[in-house]
Amino acid sequence: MDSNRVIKVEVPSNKDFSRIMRLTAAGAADACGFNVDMIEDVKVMVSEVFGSIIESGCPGAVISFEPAEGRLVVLFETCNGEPVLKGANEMTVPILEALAGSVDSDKNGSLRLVIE
Amino acid sequence: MTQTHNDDKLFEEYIRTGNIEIRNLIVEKYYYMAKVLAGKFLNRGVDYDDLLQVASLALVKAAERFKPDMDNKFSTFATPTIIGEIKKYFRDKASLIRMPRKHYELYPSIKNAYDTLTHEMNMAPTPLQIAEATGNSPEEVIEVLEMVRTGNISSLDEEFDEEGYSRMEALGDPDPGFEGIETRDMYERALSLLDENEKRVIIMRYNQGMSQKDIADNFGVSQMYISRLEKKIYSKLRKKLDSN
Repeated sequence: MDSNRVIKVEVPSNKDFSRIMRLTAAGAADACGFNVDMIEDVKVMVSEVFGSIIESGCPGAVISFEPAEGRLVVLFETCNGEPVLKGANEMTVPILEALAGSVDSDKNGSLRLVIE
Repeated sequence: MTQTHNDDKLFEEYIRTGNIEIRNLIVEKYYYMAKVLAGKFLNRGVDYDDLLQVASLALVKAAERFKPDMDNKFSTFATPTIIGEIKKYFRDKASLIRMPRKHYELYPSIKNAYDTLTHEMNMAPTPLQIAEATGNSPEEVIEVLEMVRTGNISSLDEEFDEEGYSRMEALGDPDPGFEGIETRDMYERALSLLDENEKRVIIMRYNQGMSQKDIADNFGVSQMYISRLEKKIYSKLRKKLDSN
């Protein structure tokens, strides 16, 4: 990720902050020039992953957004190094795969979404 | 909810017998997926009930197509199918022309005022009456109502009169005369940029349709000379016309 273009948010695992993450996601998606439907899709994806982080019982996460023209990369990392999708339900990954261009889980448990 | 061995048996039974009751059992069991996924696409201008209906039909399709011997679980198979159908629904049913956000937000209150006033007065309200009821300006009301009409696209193939003529048939073609005028104008402008010899070459070549060889004979020079001269003329014209 290009650090000059990255918006990094450290957020406690609390569903009250889900709305803040959706708003941040919408702002980052808007900066990519996405249309309203794509912005909504980005919000769905971010809520989905954030929900899974909350479910896993992990204390918090760092979510990084790297907006570029027509492309958004979102990186999720948990604060305790647990896999981001540890608390995912059976639909989480299929939802992400249906909406994002690519979904990559790293060995260290982080998750990278590329939306184009 | 995870897929159990019994679920696999249910799918196998359905594939073997094609019994609709078994398919319905599967659909009932996984109906929660349609509900969850429909809920994820709320606030995009389509009612939850409509989304749930689309998602449910997609779930039925997925149940009919799923084979338990595939590596996937049913939920992994059905989720993209349902999301795909929901997104297709948005593409097909949503207005082809998107209203600006401001108008989109104003529309529900204006539509509501329009319906209420129509009911109260037993006739359609004026933009001014709607504006007074909603606290918007009459211009805004007109703009929003106009935008909504613009969003309803008609097909070019749609018949629009009793004789069955389509809109496509009523469309005119560009008049070739216009292009001719434009070309002639450009041609005359180009000629005015050339010296007498260059002008003669171009007139012979394009007005009189002469070959390079014929022009060369006429000038008493080689065909190669005319070829090079032509290239020089094109380059000169390109530069001058570009700079203009």
